[in-house]
Amino acid sequence: MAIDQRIILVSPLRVLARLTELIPTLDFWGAIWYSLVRITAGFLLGTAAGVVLAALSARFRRVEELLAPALLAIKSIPVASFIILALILFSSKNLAVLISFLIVLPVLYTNLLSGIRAADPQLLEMARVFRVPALRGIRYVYLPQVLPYFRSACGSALGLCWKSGIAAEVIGMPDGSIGEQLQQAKIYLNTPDLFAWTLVIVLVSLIFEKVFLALLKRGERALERM
Amino acid sequence: MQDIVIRGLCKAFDGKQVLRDFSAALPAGQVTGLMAPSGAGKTTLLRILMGLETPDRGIITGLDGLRLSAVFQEDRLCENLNPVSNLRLVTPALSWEAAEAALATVGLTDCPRQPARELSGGMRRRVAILRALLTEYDLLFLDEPFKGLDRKTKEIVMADTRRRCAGRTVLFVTHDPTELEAMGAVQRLELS
Repeated sequence: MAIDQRIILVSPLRVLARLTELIPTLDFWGAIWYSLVRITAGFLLGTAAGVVLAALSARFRRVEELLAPALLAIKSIPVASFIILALILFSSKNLAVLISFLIVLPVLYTNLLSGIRAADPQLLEMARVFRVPALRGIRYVYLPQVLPYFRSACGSALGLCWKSGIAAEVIGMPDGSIGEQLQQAKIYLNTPDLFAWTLVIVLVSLIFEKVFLALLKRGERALERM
Repeated sequence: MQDIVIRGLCKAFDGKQVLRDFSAALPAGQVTGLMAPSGAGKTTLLRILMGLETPDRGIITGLDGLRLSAVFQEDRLCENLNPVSNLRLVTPALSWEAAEAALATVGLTDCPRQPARELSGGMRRRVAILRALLTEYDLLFLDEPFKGLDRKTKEIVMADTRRRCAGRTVLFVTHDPTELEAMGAVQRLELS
């Protein structure tokens, strides 16, 4: 029954053909730009907040205790619930920013806090005995030990923020986003578009991840120089 | 500079008494040796003097405001930093050239740009010793510093250490009485 049903399962050639039709259009690049900017913003904000909150929690036990219920709620509540709630409260335009942020924050926070806590106490004692100034200690003693945790957290969070960001756009349908294109494909049973856009999402998120991790690697190498 | 005086120092961990009423004086500008069997509390005493542990009881005078330096039992190097950077981490004023020259005096001539994680045990030890000797300090702790060095290297490093810490207050922990002699220790403390 499913054989030769183009609506259910489209051939890879048809998907590539549709992709070649989409690539020269301005709307195609506009949609990628729209989603890329918002998901990247959500990722960066989530990362920054995760770093700051993990550092504060490592330093002040009270901060960790205060944050624990909020982070547990973020991790447990389905993304769809957040999306619907955000749509009720705000416009859909920057929905992907908020949802990516909420997905990235607990991943970065948890990993970084573990990394900071796992820092070698003997090295910290060495820094204390030799009166290494705080900023210097953070850069040369803490950071190299925490970076593997940061890299691993970013690796997980990058994939998750794209999945959740696009899911948010599919539900919220902000004009000119990749999510809107996917929703349109669903409404019109346009399977070639659905697969073409899915392929685009996978490629863009993969490139984004590779570029970000490469930049991180360069940063790590810079840390080895003094 | 004044002598460091320790009176009635006590420290217990989980009910086990590690230091019991330990008293001693470390003469200023001299090397004091500390010998004791393993587990007698040498490292605990050093950790208390370094401010890394709080004694249960006892008084230490003469430590206030002193700049400390130490060769720990472990190398405690930053693994991703090369030897020169490990030295400059605690002594930022040290130039790259001066660091390289200091490394050369203990036979480390071909590894200034190699991360510490790639160095052999003996090379790491020498970097750890130099790190302690090149920084500005008033009181130096040496906790079995020459452990793991071969005889020839040990002689070179010991001579370099003695030269560099001449006139400084040093507390030197070792199991080997010949090391105390080679370092010119003026007195030997015993812990039992």
